[in-house]
Amino acid sequence: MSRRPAPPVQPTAYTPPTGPAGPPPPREPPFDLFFSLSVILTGFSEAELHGTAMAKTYFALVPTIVGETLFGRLLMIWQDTYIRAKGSDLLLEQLVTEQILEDPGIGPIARNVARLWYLGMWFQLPAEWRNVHGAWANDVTFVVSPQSYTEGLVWKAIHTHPPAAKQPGYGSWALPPVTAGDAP
Amino acid sequence: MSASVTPNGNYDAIIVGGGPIGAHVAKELVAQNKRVLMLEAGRAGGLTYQSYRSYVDSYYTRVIKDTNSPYPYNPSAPSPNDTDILKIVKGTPDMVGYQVEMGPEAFGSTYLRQLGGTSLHWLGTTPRFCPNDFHLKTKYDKGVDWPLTYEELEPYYGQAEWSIGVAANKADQEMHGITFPSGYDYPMERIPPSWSDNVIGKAVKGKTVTFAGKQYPVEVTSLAQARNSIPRKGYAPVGAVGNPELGQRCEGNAACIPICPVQAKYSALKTIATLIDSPYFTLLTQAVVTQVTLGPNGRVDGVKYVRYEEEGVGPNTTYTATATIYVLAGHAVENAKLLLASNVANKYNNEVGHNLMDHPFSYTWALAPQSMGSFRGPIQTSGIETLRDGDFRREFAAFRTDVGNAGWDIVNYPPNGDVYDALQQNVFGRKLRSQLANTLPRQVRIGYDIEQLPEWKNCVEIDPTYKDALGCFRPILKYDVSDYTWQAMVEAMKVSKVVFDALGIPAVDQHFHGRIDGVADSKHYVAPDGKPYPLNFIGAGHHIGTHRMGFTKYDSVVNRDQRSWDHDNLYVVGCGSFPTTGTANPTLTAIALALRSTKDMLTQLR
Repeated sequence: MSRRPAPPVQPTAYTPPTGPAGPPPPREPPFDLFFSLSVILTGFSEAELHGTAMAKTYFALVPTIVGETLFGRLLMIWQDTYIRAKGSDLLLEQLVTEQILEDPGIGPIARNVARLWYLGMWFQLPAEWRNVHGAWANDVTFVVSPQSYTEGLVWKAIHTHPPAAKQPGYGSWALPPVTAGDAP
Repeated sequence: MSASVTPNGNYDAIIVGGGPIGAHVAKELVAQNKRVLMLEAGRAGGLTYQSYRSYVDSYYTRVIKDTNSPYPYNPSAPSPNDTDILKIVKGTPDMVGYQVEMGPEAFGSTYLRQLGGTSLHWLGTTPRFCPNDFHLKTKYDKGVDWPLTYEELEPYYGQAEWSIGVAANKADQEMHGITFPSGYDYPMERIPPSWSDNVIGKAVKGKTVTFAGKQYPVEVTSLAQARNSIPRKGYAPVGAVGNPELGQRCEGNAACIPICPVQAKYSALKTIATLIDSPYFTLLTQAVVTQVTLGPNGRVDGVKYVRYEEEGVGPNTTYTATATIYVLAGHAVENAKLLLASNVANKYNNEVGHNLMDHPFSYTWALAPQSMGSFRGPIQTSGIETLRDGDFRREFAAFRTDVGNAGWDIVNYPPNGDVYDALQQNVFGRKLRSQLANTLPRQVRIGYDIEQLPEWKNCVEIDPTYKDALGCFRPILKYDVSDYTWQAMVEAMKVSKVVFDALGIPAVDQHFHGRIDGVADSKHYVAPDGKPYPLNFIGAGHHIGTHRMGFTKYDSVVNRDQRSWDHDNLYVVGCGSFPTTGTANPTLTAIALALRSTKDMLTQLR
């Protein structure tokens, strides 16, 4: 059987940005804000996210694609949202939708952060976003690294493993699957 | 192996193409101390464990994980890629990529020009042909007969199964007159059927479909597969090349197409690796054969080939190599291309390149009410094989039913789209996680490898307008599907209906037509009962019939030994020699035919 591809997206290798070293940005976007945002966006626990060993990579990557300013704004609004939720999970989820995901500037970035975690892939931001914020050189659809693919959370979410990696062993496919209803 | 100098010797045989068919011809000839030169257009990757592993890493990082995605792009020996195959708009050929498609239907199959050939990305399904597949004309008045019978090929099937390592139980394979000699067994036990195979098998027990007034059971059986399982007496599984402890068993990597990371699946690299140190075997890669030349007596007196050092960059050098016999084993399309470019094998007829066939693959999909454990195990472990033969073949095509293990795979390439789309709708966090967990493992996909009849108009052609970077012809394909096959797609839906109903899937979650990605159906077929059916299919990767074998020099390109009628020392081997498609995945039969042909080759080399 032959496999046809997914809808066309331009596969392009990611190249880290190079350029003259300037003064450091005024404030380093804090890693722990990115991490706690990742927890709420993915629905995976801190331990599960740490287990992928991808957090630092993604934290460093996103500002190289969308710039420090927008990335900083995303984290700032996340911090504000978190404080306003006053510990209520329900309210927090609602506020994340309203304050972050529905924001035309940072919403597409947040969605892409979740996609990074789930698929190990960055997807080129939507045309409407690029019309406003510009066509950033690194904003192309790409798989971050071999590790980002094998650490994609989607496989764990659907109770399996990434194809061609983390193989479960001979005959494992004959065993009963994890019942979908038992998913955390 | 990638020698920079041209081997200059007296070869008994030159084999064009380092895939599974060429590798088996080489193996048999070298075993008889015949000096073999193998010319391979692609690079010699994969013969070391590390180089093979680099394919796996490459696969990980590809955005589109299609059939050739793990393997390096090679402009000097290009291959057709899935992403190049577009829906053909009437009057506008698809010229994207390597092959030029004239339509009216897109020929949706790919192959790989690289050492190991398409066996690097094949699925590894290895059923035998049914005896009646060899007598389609006599038995059902359709197509043509083969100049060979099942009985004549049977011993070579056994030899092929032991050579590549097929896992199967005889009892599952004894159907439609397929028999085994007493005392024969497959080298390995069958691959365990998946959980979903067993769930479906249990649900459909006792159910039937009616085809042309006759009832046929809908029965799920284990597939014969060239992947390692528990060996039977006298067989040692062959593991990874350069790392033989690895891949002793299929480990459930679920990526058979396009790459088995542990090499538990057979690839021609395993056969070539056993030859590489033989003094009788010379492998020359990056050597693209451009012409077969004839001597005054009509026998082949050489092959011209272009050798490149760096892909897509000159200068390239042209050489001639000579031997006693010449074996073209470069794939159905490439063999035809080379014969056409050389203007040979066309003395008594104009069959070269014609009768191009595939198993048009149509599919249906559904969402089961419970988890099926999808996305686990080899991507196919069982099938519904009961419709591979029957009296209905007088009216419409037979087919193999593929019960998939990888959810909706070819339907919409999960899970990327599922994740992307959910987030577009602001589904995130725990809700996203549970939404994926509650849908994807329930996905069922049933597909059909459908027989196609030989038709002269379906063909491979060449034209000086279309050449590749090396100046070689790009294949031009003209392809259509006849009502014999379209009608079978309609009939096959009955099988899916039985399966889906037996699983208790509500009608709203059963899908029989069209494509989920919004691409329009290819064909609005009107069945004999006047009912219209929107239909669609993709390629099965089974290129068949471009240099078919036949009974006389007037009806075919090669004889039953796959020897050219016109040129005594020229053999053209592989799936291109098949007169008809049957319903079986063709590689095993092509290897069996090649093994049989080596007997004739050896009589010439005595």
